Amino acid sequence: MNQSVLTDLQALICPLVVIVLGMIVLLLDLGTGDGPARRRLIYFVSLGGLVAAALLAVANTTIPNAGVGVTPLTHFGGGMVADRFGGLFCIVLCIIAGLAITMSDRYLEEKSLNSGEYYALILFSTSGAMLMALAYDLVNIFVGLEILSVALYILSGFARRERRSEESAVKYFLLGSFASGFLLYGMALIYGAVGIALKNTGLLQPTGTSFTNLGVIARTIQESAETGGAPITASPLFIAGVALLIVGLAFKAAIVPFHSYAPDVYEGAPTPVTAFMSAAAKVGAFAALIRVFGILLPADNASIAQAAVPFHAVLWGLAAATIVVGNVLAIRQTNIKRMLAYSSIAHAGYILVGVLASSVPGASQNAKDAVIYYLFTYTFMNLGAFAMVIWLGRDGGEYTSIADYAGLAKQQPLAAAAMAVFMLSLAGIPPAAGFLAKLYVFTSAVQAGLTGLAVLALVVSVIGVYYYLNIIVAMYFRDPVNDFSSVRAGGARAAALLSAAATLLFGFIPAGVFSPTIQRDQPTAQPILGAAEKSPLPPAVAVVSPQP
Amino acid sequence: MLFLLFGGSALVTGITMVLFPNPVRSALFLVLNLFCVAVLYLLLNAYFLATVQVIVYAGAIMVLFLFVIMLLNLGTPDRSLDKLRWQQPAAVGIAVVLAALFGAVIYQSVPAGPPASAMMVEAPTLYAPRAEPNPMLTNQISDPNQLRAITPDTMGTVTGIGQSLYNPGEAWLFPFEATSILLLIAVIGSVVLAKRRLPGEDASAAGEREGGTG
Amino acid sequence: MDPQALPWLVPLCPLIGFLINAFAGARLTKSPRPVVETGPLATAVTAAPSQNTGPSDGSQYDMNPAVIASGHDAAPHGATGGHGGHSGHGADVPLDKGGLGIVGGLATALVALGFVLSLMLFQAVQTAADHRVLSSAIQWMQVPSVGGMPALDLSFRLLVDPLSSLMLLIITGVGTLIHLYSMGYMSHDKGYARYFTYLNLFVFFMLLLVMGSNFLVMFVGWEGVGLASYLLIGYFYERKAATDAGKKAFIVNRIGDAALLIALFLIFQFFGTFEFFGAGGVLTEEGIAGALGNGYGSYAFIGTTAAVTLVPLLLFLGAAGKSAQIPLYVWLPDAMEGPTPVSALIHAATMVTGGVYLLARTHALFLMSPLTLTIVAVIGVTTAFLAATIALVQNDIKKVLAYSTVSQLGYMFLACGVGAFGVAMFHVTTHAFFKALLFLGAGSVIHAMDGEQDMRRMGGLRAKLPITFAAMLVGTLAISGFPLLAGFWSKDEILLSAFAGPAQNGLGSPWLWLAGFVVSGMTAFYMMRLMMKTFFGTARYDGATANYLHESPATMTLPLIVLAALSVVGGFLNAPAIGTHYFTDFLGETVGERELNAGGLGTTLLIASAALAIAVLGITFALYNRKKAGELSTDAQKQRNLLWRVLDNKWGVDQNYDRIFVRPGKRGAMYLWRTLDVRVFDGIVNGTAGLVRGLGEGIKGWQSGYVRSYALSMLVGVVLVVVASLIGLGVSLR
Repeated sequence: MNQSVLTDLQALICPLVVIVLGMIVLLLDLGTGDGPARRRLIYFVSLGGLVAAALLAVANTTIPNAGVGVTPLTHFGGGMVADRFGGLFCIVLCIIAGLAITMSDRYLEEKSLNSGEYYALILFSTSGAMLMALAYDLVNIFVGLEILSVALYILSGFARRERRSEESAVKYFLLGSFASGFLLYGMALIYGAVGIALKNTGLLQPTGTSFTNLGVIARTIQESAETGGAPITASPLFIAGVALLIVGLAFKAAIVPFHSYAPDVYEGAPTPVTAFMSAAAKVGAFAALIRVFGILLPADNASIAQAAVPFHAVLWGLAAATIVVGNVLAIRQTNIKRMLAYSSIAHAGYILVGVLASSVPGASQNAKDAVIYYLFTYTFMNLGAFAMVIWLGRDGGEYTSIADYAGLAKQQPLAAAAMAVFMLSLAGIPPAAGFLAKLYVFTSAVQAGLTGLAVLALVVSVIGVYYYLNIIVAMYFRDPVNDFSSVRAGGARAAALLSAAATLLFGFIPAGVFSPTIQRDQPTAQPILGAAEKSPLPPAVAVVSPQP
Repeated sequence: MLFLLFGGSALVTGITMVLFPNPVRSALFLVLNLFCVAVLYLLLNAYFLATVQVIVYAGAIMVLFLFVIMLLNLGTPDRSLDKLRWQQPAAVGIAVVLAALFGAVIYQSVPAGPPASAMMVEAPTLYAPRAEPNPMLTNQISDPNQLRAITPDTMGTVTGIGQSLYNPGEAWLFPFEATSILLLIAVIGSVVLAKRRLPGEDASAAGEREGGTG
Repeated sequence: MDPQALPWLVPLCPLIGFLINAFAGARLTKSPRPVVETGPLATAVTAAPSQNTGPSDGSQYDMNPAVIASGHDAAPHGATGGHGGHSGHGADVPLDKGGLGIVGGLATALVALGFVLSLMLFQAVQTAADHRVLSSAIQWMQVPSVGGMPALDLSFRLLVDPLSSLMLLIITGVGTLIHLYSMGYMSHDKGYARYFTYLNLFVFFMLLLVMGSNFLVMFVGWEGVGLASYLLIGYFYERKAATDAGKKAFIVNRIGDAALLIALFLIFQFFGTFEFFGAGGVLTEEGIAGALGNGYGSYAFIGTTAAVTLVPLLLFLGAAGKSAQIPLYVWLPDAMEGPTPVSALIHAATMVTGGVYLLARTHALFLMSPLTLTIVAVIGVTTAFLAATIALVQNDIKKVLAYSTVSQLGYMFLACGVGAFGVAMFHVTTHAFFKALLFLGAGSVIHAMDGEQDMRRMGGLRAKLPITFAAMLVGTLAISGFPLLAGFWSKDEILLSAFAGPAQNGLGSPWLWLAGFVVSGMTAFYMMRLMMKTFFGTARYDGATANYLHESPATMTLPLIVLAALSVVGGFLNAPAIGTHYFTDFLGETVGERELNAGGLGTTLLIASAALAIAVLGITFALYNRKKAGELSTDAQKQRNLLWRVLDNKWGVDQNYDRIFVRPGKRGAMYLWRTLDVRVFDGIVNGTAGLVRGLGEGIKGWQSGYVRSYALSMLVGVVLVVVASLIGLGVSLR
């Protein structure tokens, strides 16, 4: 039994390391002396720990994905699963947390905010998102979501002397709780639906597992469909439950019409926190969404894929509304943080297109890969853009108006170039990674037969080019209005440049970056019912070695 | 019958709690609501949960709530300046629609007959071994030989709950432990957001507000 | 060494050089302390505050306004400062001598290292099975198959086979010599680091071009080379002529690149891959068979034109842009505005041969279309003829060489057009030797003459510049086809192939031979004319220049000597008449070479060319030697000669291009701008923008800032989602 606990712990090593790291940071904050030395110690311990956690997560990426047909290797009584999918999300989350922490150092100093608690909260929040990605039980998804959210509520109010920060925390908390209520209610409905179905079909329920366990639910779906009678997926209770589940997760991902908190919260929260939450909350939510869709409504099983149909229209509408509203409202923004908030809403819409495609047989695997790739690139370009805002600020203030960035290229050519990279990538213009991310997602959408949605997304994303290029125009073609000669260097610059490099790298050699994880073992990921129509790669050209 | 009575009063107290503008009364209704829910737990044979509900929620937490409310001396909020009054009826209307919707869904889905207690009576049959073990299923159970103390007898008792929360083979160990992180975060949060300002902080804070954002 | 890693190292060398020089070059070459040399410019430059906190690329560091203001006319002017006793010319820019050595030395050493690696690869290729060394692949991008299009699976991979190995040796070998030469030539130019940065960048892209194992990597190199050549031609960016020439080269190349791109699209459509070799590769038999099954042979484009013709035709148009063939040759003569070593590197030895390489690489596609091959041959020989006639009357020493290059490239395309791709590559090789030699020699003369390029103000230089003279003489004899020198063998083989053609397809024709033969005579004439006007006769330069005249430093003469030696012996690599076949044997199958059924004809033609070369050289020598300085015909006399006017006007090609394409193009663009763009498109765009703004104004109302409103909107959303799901359920059940 001890052995099994150890295996379980080992499988969840990445989030556990992050949690322990958070505790260590807290203790360091208490234990060691005061001053910059302590700050630096905490800073580097956090970063080092995250690197270690990310490396540990790499091991997970070799485990085949859980899904119907692939026996998942579950842990902790079936409630958690460690697979390639979860491992990739853990890596993204480590990157997000790492970048967010990297860009925070000077910011915290200038605002004289306590770094120990701040870093610990970021780490805890990250672990919550990781648990969401690794959860195999709706209850665990919920606990993960709450860990993620509660830490974020506190973080957004972390600059507690600023009214905007406090306001954003309260708003986020109230609306977040509201959404969590729906999520929980949805889970309760699913619990009920599964329980009723199990009772009706006379299936046994193993002790210790719950009706909220995804494996149990998957089996219930399958058997209720096979034994004839009304399948559970046709039960209004189940459908309503899943609908509420979507609502709860859509809130976290800032999907229209559950997005309204995002601009206010993003604007008010401390900028590194905004950067962190704009990515981490989305990654966690999308991980859970894909996981739930992959198992509750498995695309790979044609008979059950029928169950996904009611949600097609819903997700279609949500994605379309999100893309349109996000892009249209972003145009009017003069505040860069608000603009990025709306832009992140729009990007959530693009990602949702991929999630939707992943529920269609045949396109599922490509769509999942596309979403993961999108989240990776989104992480770099979005956090990078926020890092720029921090980098270019000084003395506790930030240039938040887009007009403030006029003429930046003349004073800080490197900064302007990095910002241009992020904007081009966000706009989806080729050399940068954002282009390929969009390309992959839209391609998978077309494969899934969602041509209309793909075309809509494509057309509307052209609007995006306008407001992203606005910033580039301001930086390169306007006369300076502000003096950027003394800017905040340090971590923010490192984070921004790192992200810019990664954005370009992902854009130039996407498969080169991703081949060890995404592309290689696609055929084995869904071996039994894999309907993924990945065309076989041309056999490698035989490598000829010289024979002396 | 008992279910209808206490279920109904739980609903009513819940609604009144939201509707009363005075926070003290609101809190008292919440206490009442918690009691009703505790009775519902009892009806489901969850004795321990019912006890804990009364002791912890109604007893400890609500008393704390009331203390805080009284200490802060909150009055009834002034609503005369509210510009968005029109939203209230709209919200109520939509809430009613939603409630009706879920009512219909649940009513339609729940099979006829006594809803909850029936499960308990039939429980032994639920645990009958199936003729052929499902391969998907074996994976859910970490170890077939492991101690499984949760039976209909122990379900809902301290033993049963203890087993499901602390037995590593059970599904609930992990969320239970993960919740401790949540509580830790909450503690940190209260410290961070509520702690007093240090003397040095205020000076910089004042200057910062002036400096503001560009 | 891991054979899969070795190919990567070759392009890595110049890339490292490029990166180091781009990031650190400016700092290295900037003198840390003010240089004692007085003068307003020096002080202006040193006093100018460095505004850039850290230059991030090579193009930034000299954007310092003071530096731009200081200006400089040409490299040789800048290069004069250090040569004692000749003050008054050039900008005395404070340059750190040690830094210069590091920057130039590094760039040269890395290219030399690339040459060593190329030699290793050369060895490896010969022993490798199939004569191919493939690098490991870096997965680039994959796009799954959508809507019937084949799945896109691109990877970075390098391929070294005899053909690319040969190009590698030329690029890195001649490149090293030119780098070495440039260290002397450019040593007093303030853009020294920028120059070497560009030069390394060029070599890097050129290596990619010839090493790519698929069309995409090749295309990256192709475009990169275009970029680097644009940067190098416009290197003296203060001069309008230089920037104009850079732009012209870039734009003209773009036309060819567009054709090439279309060809690539068509290839992808029919072959479903960009890989050259390997399973289903474009250039493999099964790949071609697959494409034919795919409708490659019968694809109707316009009427009856099949893709089988269209694809090689478009490839050829791309090659014509890069290799300066009719109709896209016009950029090359103008490109002489760049520094002379650049002309040698880009416009003689390497870049312009990229087109020939492309044809040789894709010969399998060309051989499927006799029509295209004929077009290639005719255009090649026409280009050779046209350029040679223009070269007859040029007075600028570099222009003569530029037109000569165009003419020689015409020869190469002639060879390709008759199916003798190996012979074309052989001429590429020998031409790289002697044309680089001639350009570097010309550069040496220009250097000595303090930037003078007009041959009318030279003369009698052979005593002053003995090494340069000797080297140039070797080069002249080689290019003219003087027996036993490099050009003799390669040109003779081209002419022979043109006459007879390879056995199987019999594309050769006596007319092609005749045209080539005439051009051969003209080549001998204009080259000898160049020699006579430059090195013989009386001195026609002024006194100041006479004082300044000096033989070039060793870094410049050494490459000349090496190249001269190669120009002498290079031909023996493949001289069937005396029984050497090293070159053909080495290239082997990679260029689809077939046996010539020349028989005894070969010897006859060989003797005929030899006789012609010697005769023309002799006649020209005698003609010009007899004339004294005053007896050279004056411009007025020449003007009366119609033929001279036509040739001096370069057949009116530039003017006609301007009249037919450029000016109507500008007018059309103006028209489109004023009507279509401003009225229609801007109208649509502005209208849409207005619409979107209005929409945004409408939705903005939601964003009130009140939590209650947000909660309400969420509630509405919940109802919508739940209802929609339930309705969806109803729909799906029925």
